Amino acid sequence: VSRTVEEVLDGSLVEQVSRLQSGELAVRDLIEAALTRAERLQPALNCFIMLDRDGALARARALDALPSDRRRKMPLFGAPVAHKDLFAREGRIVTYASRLYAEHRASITATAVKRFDDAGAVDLGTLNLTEFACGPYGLNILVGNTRNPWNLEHVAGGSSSGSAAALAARLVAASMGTDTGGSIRGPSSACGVFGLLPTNGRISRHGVLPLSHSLDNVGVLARSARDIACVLGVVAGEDANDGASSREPVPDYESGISAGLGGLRIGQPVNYYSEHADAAIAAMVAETARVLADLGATIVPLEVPDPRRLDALANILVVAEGSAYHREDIRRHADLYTPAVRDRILFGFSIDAVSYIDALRLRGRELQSYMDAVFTKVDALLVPAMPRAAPRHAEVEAALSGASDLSFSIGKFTRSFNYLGLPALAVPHGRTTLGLPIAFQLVGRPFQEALILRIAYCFEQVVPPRFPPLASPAEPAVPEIA
Amino acid sequence: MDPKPESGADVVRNYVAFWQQISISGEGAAAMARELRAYAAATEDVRATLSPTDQPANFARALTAEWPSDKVSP
Repeated sequence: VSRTVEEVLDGSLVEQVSRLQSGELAVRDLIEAALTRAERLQPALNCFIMLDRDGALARARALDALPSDRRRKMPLFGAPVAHKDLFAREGRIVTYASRLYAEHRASITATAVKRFDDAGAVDLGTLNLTEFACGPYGLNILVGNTRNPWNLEHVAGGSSSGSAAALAARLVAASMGTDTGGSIRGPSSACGVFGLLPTNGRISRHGVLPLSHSLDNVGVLARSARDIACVLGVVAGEDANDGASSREPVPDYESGISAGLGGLRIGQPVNYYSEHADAAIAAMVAETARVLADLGATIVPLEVPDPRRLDALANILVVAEGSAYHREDIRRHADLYTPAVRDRILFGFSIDAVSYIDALRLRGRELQSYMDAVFTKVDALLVPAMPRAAPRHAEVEAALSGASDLSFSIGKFTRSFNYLGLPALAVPHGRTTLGLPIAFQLVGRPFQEALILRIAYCFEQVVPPRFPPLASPAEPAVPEIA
Repeated sequence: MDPKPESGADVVRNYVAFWQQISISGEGAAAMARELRAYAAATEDVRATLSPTDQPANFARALTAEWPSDKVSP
């Protein structure tokens, strides 16, 4: 089917790559369209920290010159991408969205970025985030906050705010973020895109600024489960430069993705989640269960271990490790940190060593208990991604100025899975009465990303995701955020 | 960044200067204290049951273990 360049840009990564590999569309034309759209929407969305027009077009020209057989060996051939500005690329400024590193030039390239390059992706620039990936709202004093493409008065979530906003606005076809307590799944939910936290260690973190080395994971955001499967196959796998990267074999995540849900048991917790979510979120999860049952899955109501204890253990790790990493910088340059980020890092100095060691020692046993309690009965778990839709910028600012750190409460459905190291995928499903996207999570056994991607793929065939109209963010009538 | 190694006295001096430099508002400090108490309370029971054989490495082993249920569903 013939489509305009703009329509292809709106489509999936898999479709874009297919049309580019066949030569039906030149990489240069698609990248030019992506850059033009990004430049048009950037003043409203503020999702990029840096757009590299010249670099992207040079790369596109080089790809267009490749012979057909080379193109077909590149699973991301010509696809426009950009990543959270925590990922180093040698010679390029990587800011971590921080005033402290505003002119910091990377001396290495992150392994995951290199794997994108080798697969033929075109990097358009660097994407906005919460300063140092430290917080769930995309707050940033270097370049300002990212705005939600569905409603500019609302945050885009965080910390991978630019990644989710750029995907919803169809500026890129895939993006890498990081997720320490919900930093991929939160913004994915807020902006209505798919976001995967892989199994702990599935993707190399070499060249990516840490927040909490125990809980950090590199993950993928995209506009469909199939796109995430495609990208995961490219970036997953052992890396000698990241000692914590897993040696588990990397399967073909795309094969079998359409195998259906017959025979699968999907657990739906009867405790905790629905009572701690907004009514719209609880109703959405119930509707999701009905759809999955119609598709052939068996929904199994079950009691799950209370995630609050796991959250508490995760919080000990994240603030203590974050403080250890930032200790020297914050001592010398505390004035350059966003106050909310600075306070979180300072908080970590209050964690005693005994608590920290206990939180690490308990992790294996907690995972084993969770597997016994949940994954001996079901193949995957269905829970909400976030307890509410994206708040307004003004609401977040007011809460933070009242010294209330909302970051731990907004992540109450996500953080426990970082502690357990389990893969979890945010899947968009519907919107609130205010028109803001909401999402559910599918959680799987370790290294069973293929299974949760398969469930999400089958779901989106009957409930396809919707994305925001692009005219509105650029219209001057849309209220600006102070 | 200052590449010069610090002496022990420097470390102490800098640590004191650091805390003097940072001002945490009363509300901020109180919020942190509340969070800290909440963490301690939420994990108190389970931490009391730790055994000498519970080690961080057990997590990596549990992640890569083959769970009996892995082969139940297609």
